[in-house]
This record gives sequence, structure tokens and C-alpha cells, in this order.
Amino acid sequence: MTTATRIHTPPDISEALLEAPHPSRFRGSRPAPAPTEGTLTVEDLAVTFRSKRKAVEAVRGISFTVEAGKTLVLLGESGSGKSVSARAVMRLYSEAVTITGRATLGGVDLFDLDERAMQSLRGRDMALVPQDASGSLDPLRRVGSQIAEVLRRHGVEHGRKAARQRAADLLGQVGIPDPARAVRSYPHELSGGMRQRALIAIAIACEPKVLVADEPTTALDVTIQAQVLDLFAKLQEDLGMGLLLVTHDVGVARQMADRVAVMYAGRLVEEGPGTTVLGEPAHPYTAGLLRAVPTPETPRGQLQAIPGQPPAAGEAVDTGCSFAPRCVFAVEECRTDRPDLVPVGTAHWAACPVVNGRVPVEVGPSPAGAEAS
Amino acid sequence: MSAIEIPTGNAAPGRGGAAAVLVGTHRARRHVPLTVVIPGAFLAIVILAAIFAPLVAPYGPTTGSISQRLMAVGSSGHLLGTDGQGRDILSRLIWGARPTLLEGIVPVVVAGVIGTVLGMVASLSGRKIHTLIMRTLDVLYSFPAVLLAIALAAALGAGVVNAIVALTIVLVAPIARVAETEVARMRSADFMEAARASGASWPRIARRQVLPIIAPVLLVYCTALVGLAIVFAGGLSFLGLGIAPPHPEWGSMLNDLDQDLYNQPVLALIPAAAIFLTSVAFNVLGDGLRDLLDIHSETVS
Amino acid sequence: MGRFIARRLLIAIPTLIGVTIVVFITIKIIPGNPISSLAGMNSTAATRAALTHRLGLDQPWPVQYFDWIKSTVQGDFGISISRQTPVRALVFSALGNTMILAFAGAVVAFVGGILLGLWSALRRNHVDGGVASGTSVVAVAAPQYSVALVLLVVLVVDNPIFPSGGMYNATGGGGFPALLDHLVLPAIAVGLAPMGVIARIFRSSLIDVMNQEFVSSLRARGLSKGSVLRHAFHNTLPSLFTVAGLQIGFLLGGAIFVEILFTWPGLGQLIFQAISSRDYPVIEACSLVLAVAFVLLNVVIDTGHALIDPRVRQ
Repeated sequence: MTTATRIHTPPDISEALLEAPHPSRFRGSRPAPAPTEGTLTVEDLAVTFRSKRKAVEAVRGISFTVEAGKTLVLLGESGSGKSVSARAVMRLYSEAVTITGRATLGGVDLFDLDERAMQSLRGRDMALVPQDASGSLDPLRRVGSQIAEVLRRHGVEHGRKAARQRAADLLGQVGIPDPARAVRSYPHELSGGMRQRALIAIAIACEPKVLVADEPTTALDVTIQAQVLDLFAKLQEDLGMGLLLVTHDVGVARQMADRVAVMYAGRLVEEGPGTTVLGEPAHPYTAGLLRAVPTPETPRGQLQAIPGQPPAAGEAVDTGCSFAPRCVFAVEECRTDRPDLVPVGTAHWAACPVVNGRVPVEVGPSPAGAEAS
Repeated sequence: MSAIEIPTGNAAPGRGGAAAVLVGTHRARRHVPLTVVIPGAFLAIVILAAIFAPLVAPYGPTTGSISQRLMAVGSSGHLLGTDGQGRDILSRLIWGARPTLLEGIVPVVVAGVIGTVLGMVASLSGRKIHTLIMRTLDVLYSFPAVLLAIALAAALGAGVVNAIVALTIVLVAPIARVAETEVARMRSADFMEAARASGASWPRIARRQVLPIIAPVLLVYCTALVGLAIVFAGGLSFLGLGIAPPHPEWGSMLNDLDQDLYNQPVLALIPAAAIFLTSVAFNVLGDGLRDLLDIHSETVS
Repeated sequence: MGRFIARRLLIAIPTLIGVTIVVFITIKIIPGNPISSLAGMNSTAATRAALTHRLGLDQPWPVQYFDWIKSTVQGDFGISISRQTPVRALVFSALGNTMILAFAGAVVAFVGGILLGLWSALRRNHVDGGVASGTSVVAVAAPQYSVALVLLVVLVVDNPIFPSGGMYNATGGGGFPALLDHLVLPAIAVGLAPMGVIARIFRSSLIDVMNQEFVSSLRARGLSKGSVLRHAFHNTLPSLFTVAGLQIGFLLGGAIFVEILFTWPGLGQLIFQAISSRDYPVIEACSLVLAVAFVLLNVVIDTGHALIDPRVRQ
């Protein structure tokens, strides 16, 4: 895999553009990278849930790229649409959910495939590690048989016996101590961490090009969480998979991300290299998220919560910036004009014209800053 | 145990899926649902007709002449025809509603009181009493309900009172079990802890805290149970364990008219339909009350 | 698994003892003195006392109970008052016939209930799915004797398609085909209400399972629609087994009435005749045999449940 080459060439950003008082809108989607084996590209993805009464736009047009061997973290609070985006890309929703945009995996248009082709692609080229480890295994089937089922389904192994052997190997690979025994176990006989490992084993069974991990560590203890994250890193190295990691946890993002895409109310507000976004955020929301997380350097009592609440999914006002109601930098324009993502640095985009690519370090306590926890 | 759970089924409320979760459920203003209005109206008519049978029924329940036997439905003067002894079926249906409804409703009411008390006592008092009560009820529970009713009624002898006693005994166990489950569900709730910590005795907790909460659940359950009790009552009377002939009861009418199935097949369907409709009405009413009272209980829903 | 069955049987023992106690009590509350009916009206006090002693009726109730249990376990159910033959032979041939009917009713209930439930679950936003759902609601409340009567009127009296009753041809022959022919209507009558219950529970269970996280996870693994549905169906089996345990009693109980209307020579008929002739030994034996069969069938069902669901095995 071409890990060293930047496929995602940063657009040429002139100093003038960066310093312009009113940065011109960065319209349309960014130039799509050349289709590369193993690259997941999502453009302008929008997901709408419809019920009899109303339509809820959970995702309102986001674009991102997951490169082979790299990790893109989709970061956001619950309800921001991050999990929905991940599942929509895998087409896991029923027809009642409207999905628009484009998603390609290694040049294959995912939204163009018929259901049958999509079925055989799922789990083989793109696999999911779900959030809820205890609820995501069939409770009535042995772990080994569930892995073997996937192996045989995708033609990795044909014989029953070979599949079972391979299942045990996979369980060993994901660090389950007694794989021969785990193969014969039922899900309820395993601990939460072991169940999550078993789900990872199922996901990597066919060595997918891209692994989608939806809050894979949220339900786990901190120590187990670290082990599972290490496992992801190791597997990624061994198998060269792209990893789309959905999380609300800044710490997880910091540990794993090559790139970070920050979501708020169904939109991307910032995207860029992990160290940059999580070090020098270019969007007030990202900055707020970071300030709400303790680090060893944070002085006692300096932790700040973002004032207000994120809008419930689909409730966001769609004129102007969705974050404006909670933003200390908001000016009149924020409430009327919707900001687009604009380049703010090397391969770094943010959707806030006000802070101009750099959130001032000195952020005075906001009116609601008293809520800071 | 067998049939007792039947009228309520076990429709676990299906989860709404992602869309429903995202949308949230905006409850419309609550109306009295048709599932309460329609069976309620039907049952009101049936019950009123039974109470005012002497005024409503065109003939006496036992009067008839053999010369007018087995007249078809719609005959002049006999709207629903006559039976094998020339008695007016409509009149017998109205008079027969009395013992049938008594045997359907009274056992549920009596067993409802006994079962609720037993369930609450079992759940709120000590462990030994809990085991004693629930294990004893389990024995009754391990009979098929119909069979237990038949065995008891047969041993006690035919008659309305004995049928009521037999059905009451059968119904105590399931009601007590529902009450026990409901109380156990709320036993660890904070307000219960608070009540206990404040030194309230368990009978007081039962009366003040528990009963108001479990009452709607039990009301819904018992309403549907009346439907089943009517079916059982019809069954007992069908076997000759109900009211003594020649007095009418729906179950025994069914048996009488079954004798003449080949001459007037439709007639036998009349009491069968009466039992069926009344039973369905109580069942639907139970469902409707559940919606109206907005009960989400696994034991009853 | 062997341990599960052993433990389950162990639990069944106190239940069985309880059942025998209940039946024993019903014997004791029967009005009238059995001695006077046995010894005759103009018997002397001495003969009565002798008879009472011989039958053990002067013993305390617990002793009487153990004597009764002892003879019952040895297969002695007493003598039928109306037929003057041993009750045992009567009861066991009838029990076999009732089991045939109950089994056929169970087949109707489960096959019909699963199909109806599947239909109403998969088409739940369509009119036909609603109709299927409504059908099951109505079926639940339908008394088995009412259903039997409707079937008799429509398919026997008005349109003589099926035989009116009995188990075999009038000559007593006909073998298996005749049995099937005679079985169809009673089986439907017995199975219709349980079918409605099963349909409702299968429907809600299937919808519940389909909304569970693991189904979406199975889809994400790339399994085909059919495979996913197979997994989902598998996961409805525990609730089907639970409902089976509850419905067996209803099948057996309903069979009593249906047998009478279809003159099926089972326990129901026997009970009916015994009630009208006050043949108490027969009523007791029938109750006891049915209740024991019910308890044992529940052991079988629980075992099946445990085979399906590893979580129950502990």
C-alpha cells in the first residue's frame, strides 16, 4: 500500500486566501482523489430518516476519505450523525432511509451496486465493528460458528473443518487467550472485552480493505479499551486496512487518528491531520471539545464545557452555522450564512470564517462558562 | 400455566428502530380509543339486557310448546327461532346471559381481590412466606386451567355457585402471579426504599405506594381475563356443570342445540356466537384499556 | 444437557406431588358418602363400619393419601361406577386418543401460527398484514367449542366434506387415511385459538429480534437476506418454546370439549360421560392422568427450550 504517498493532495492555498477578511466560499466538493485500491471516498453524503410526520436530516452533506493503511477518526457528540454516516456508507439502513451522495471503495461506486453485490461486498471488502459488543453477536450461536459462517459466506474457507480452524486462528490473532475454547463458547460466556475481540475477529476475517469501527470501545473498561485500540493499530499494520473510527472520545481520537473529521449537527466543521486538528483547532467547536477534556496540563478548575446543548438530531436550524447558538465568537453573519469548509492549512479545512483558521488561545469564560465541569 | 395467559398474549412492544429513536415519539392528545368504545358499548347492551331480562325478553326462559319446536331464525314471533322443546332462543339467550355473566365476572372479581392480596403479601413480606405462597400457587398452576375447573366443579357438583367457586380457585394463581411480578418490578424503586426507610410497615406501603401503581395493570389483565372466564363458564355449563336445566345458560344451550344440529344447524351457532362475541369484547376491551391507561408492562402487554 | 434434564425432572417431582394432592382433595370434597352407595341403602351399621375399615376410610387423611398414591402408582385407578370395569383400561386408551388430537392441534397451532405471524410481521405496514394480525386477535378469543360447532355446521352438515365424528370409519376400520380424515376438523378446532396466540407472539418476537443490534451486525457481515432471516427465526424459538409450554394446557383442555362435539373417543368424552353419570373414579383418574401428562410435556418442552437456548441451560 502506498502509505508514504499523500494521495489526498492539499489544494494550493495562497496566503492571500488565508488572510482575506472574507474568505471566498469553498464551493462544491473538493477534488476527488484518484481511485486507489482500498481507498474509501465519500462525497456529499446526506442521510434522511423519514417517518409519517416528518423527515429528519441526520447527515447533511459530508465528504471524507479513508486511505489504505490510515485511520480517519469521525469525531463528534452523540447525535452529530457520525454513526449514521458510517452505517449509511455500508448501506445498512432500509429503503425508508434516504441516502444521497457518492461513496466509492477502491473505485467501486457503493451506492450503484445492486443489493446482492453489496451483500457480498459487506464483510469482505468493508467490515463493521459495531458499538454494542454484547448485543451484536447472535446469542444462540457459538462464536466459532459465527466466524466460520462469514468465512464460508465470502469464500475464504470452504470446508467446515478448515473454517473452524481458521476461526480459532483469528480469535488468537485478536488476542483471545484460549482460542480453542472461545471457538466453542456462546457469546454470553465471554466477557465484554472478549466479545468485542470476537466481533473484531469476525470483521477482519476476510481481511477487508476498510474497517468501519463504530464506537468500538465505548462500552469497555478503560484498560480493556486501551488493549482494543492497540489491537486495532496492530491489525491495521499487519493487514494494511483503512480504518474509519467513529468516536466521541477525544482521547481515542488522539491515540488513533491520522486524520480527524469533526462532525456537528450532521455536517463536518473541521477536517485535517490528527495532530493539527487536536492540537491547533481551527473551529470553535473543536476547540470547545478539546477544552472539555482533561489533559495532564489542564490546571485544576480550568476544564470548560461548551455552553448549551447540541441540537437533537435533525433539529438543527439550517440557516447559518448550526454551532452559532453556542459559539462565543458568533457574529451576525453566522446566523444567516452557512459557512463552507475552507482550507486553513496544509490538508486542513474548517468551516468557520470568523476565527480565520485559528481559534484564539485566550478564550474568555463564556456567559455560560459557569457550567464548566 | 395453560390458557390463563391467553387473552393478553405477550406482545412485547417492538422497538422503533433508528428512525423512531431519532424522531422521538410525539404523543398525540389522548382520545378514548375505539377499542374501548365499541366493546364497551356492546358489553353494556349485553349486561343491561341480562339485568332487565324480565322486561326485555319476549318470552319466559322455560316456556315453550313442543308444537313450535325448531323454528328457523327469523320466524315470526321468534326472531332467533326456537329450540328442540319449542322455547324461544332469543329469550333463553337473554335469560342465559345472567348465569353466564355471573360465572364470568364474579370469579374474576373475587380472584382479583384474593390474588392481588396474595401477590402483594408474597412480594412484600419475608422470603419464607413468599416461597410458601408462590410454591402453593405453582401447584394450581401446574394443572391445565380448564381441567382444574372441570375437576373442581365436578367434585363440588353442578350449579352456578359451585361453578363460580371452581373458576375463582382457578383464577387466583395467575392473578397472584401477575401481581407478584408487578410488585417485584417496583420493589427496588427509590420511593419504596424511602418509604421503608421512613419506617412504614409493609401493609401500609402496600396500600399507599404499591396498590395505586399495580392497580391499572391488574385492571387491564382482569378485564381480558373475564373473556377467558366466560369461555370457561360456557365450557362448564356445556358439560352440564352449570345451572340446572331447564334454566338456560349459554354453554348448556349450545349443548342442547347441538342435538338438533342436522335439523337446524344454524341455531346451535347462536349461543356459540354469543360466548365468542362476549369473550372477544372483553379481550379487545382489555387491549383498549391498556392503550388508554398507557401501560407498558411485560406481564400484561 | 443431561444435568439440565435431571434437574428439571427433580423440579417436576414436588409439582407432581402437589398435583396428586389437589386431585386427592377433590375426591375428598365430593358430596355424599361413598360407603352408603357401595354398601346399599339397607345395610347395617356393622357392615358399614366393616366396609369403612376395609377401604381404609377410618384412617387419617395423610394415611389415606399415601394408600391412594400407592395403589395409583401401581396402576390401580379403581372401578368405574357406571361401567363396572377397571378405570385404568378406559383411561389409558382414551389418553392415547386425546394425545393424538392434541398433537394434531399443536401442529395446526404452530404451523398456522408461525405462518400467520410471519405474514403479519413482514407485511405489517400493509392492509393484508393488518388483516393477518386482526385474524390472530380474533382467533385468540375464539372458544374451541364454538369453533368446533362452526366447522361442524359448515363442513359437515351443510357441505358434507368431512366425517361428523369418531376416529375411524363407522365399521371401525379405514386405518391411517381414515384417521387423518376424521382428525382434520377436530385438530383445527383445538388448534385455532392457540394458533392466534402463537401468531401474536411470533409476530412481536420476530419484530423484536429484527430490531436487535445483532441483526444489523449480521447484515454488516455480508450475510444474505435469507441467512439473516434464518438467524432471526432461530432467535424467536425461545419465545415459541415458552408459549408452547403455556399452550399445551390449553390444547389439552380444549380437546375435552372438541372431543365431545366430534365424538372423539378421548378423555374429554370420558369425562363428559362420567360427569353425567357421577362416575367419580373416572373423573379423578382422567384429571390425574391429564395433569401428569401436562407436567411431563412441560419437562419435554423445557428440555427443547434448553437445547435451543444455551442461556437457559445454566
